Amino acid sequence: MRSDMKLDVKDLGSGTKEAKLDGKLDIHGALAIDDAFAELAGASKNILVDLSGVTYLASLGIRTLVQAAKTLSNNGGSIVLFAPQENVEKVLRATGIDTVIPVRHGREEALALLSK
Amino acid sequence: MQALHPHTGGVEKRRFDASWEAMAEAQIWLSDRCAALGLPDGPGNSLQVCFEELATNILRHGNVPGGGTAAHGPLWIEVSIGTDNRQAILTVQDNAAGFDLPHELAHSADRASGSAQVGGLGLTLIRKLADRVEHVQSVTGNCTTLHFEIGT
Repeated sequence: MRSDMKLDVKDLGSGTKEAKLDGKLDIHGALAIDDAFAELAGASKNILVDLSGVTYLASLGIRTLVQAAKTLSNNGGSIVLFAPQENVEKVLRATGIDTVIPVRHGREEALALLSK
Repeated sequence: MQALHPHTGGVEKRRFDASWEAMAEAQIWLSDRCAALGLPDGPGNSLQVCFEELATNILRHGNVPGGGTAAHGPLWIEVSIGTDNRQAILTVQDNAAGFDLPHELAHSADRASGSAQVGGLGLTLIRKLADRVEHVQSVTGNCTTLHFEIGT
């Protein structure tokens, strides 16, 4: 299945990873990164997710993020999303997911939440 | 931004097999049609999100319980898109088992919010992103029409 979805991971130390997603998290995109993102969640304490390159998000993509949040929470960690584009933020707010997974506009603000 | 397509009221239609691969192709087709119609980003994105939710719902729940087939032969999904009077209109028709969408939408309100539960997210998105929802359920399948205001 073809997808232009990309996932780049940077190690920030102390079990915290920064995941940069780029592309459309549509059916192709969600299926393309689902396994890798689940694996990342299983191997991390916290994940900072850069959504600035995500141009589309719907419930399949949200499912990937929520499953990762559950895995991290079960291991005593957390996930924070930052820099969503307008359309993506609208979907996050419409579903109320932003009340479960924190969403911030700036990276430093998001990182500060993980440090608490 | 591209101007709205001058021939409002025109409808483009295509039928797809009901599979994840075909639905992903349908998404690309729909995205191309939104661009060709010159839909603004906001309603264009909402329309594509709602299509994904309807398609996902049909794929997950469209088959007759206990069987591998739809109500009438192999499951298919027909998608049409057009504009009319400052609205984008998406119609999704299927031959799946009957689905009471208005009832499900009415009961989806508090299912997802604040609970980290994934189930019901799609219905919540349709309820919040579409400006009007029409649904006809019959013995031969379902037909859902969603309206999205384009604005001025």
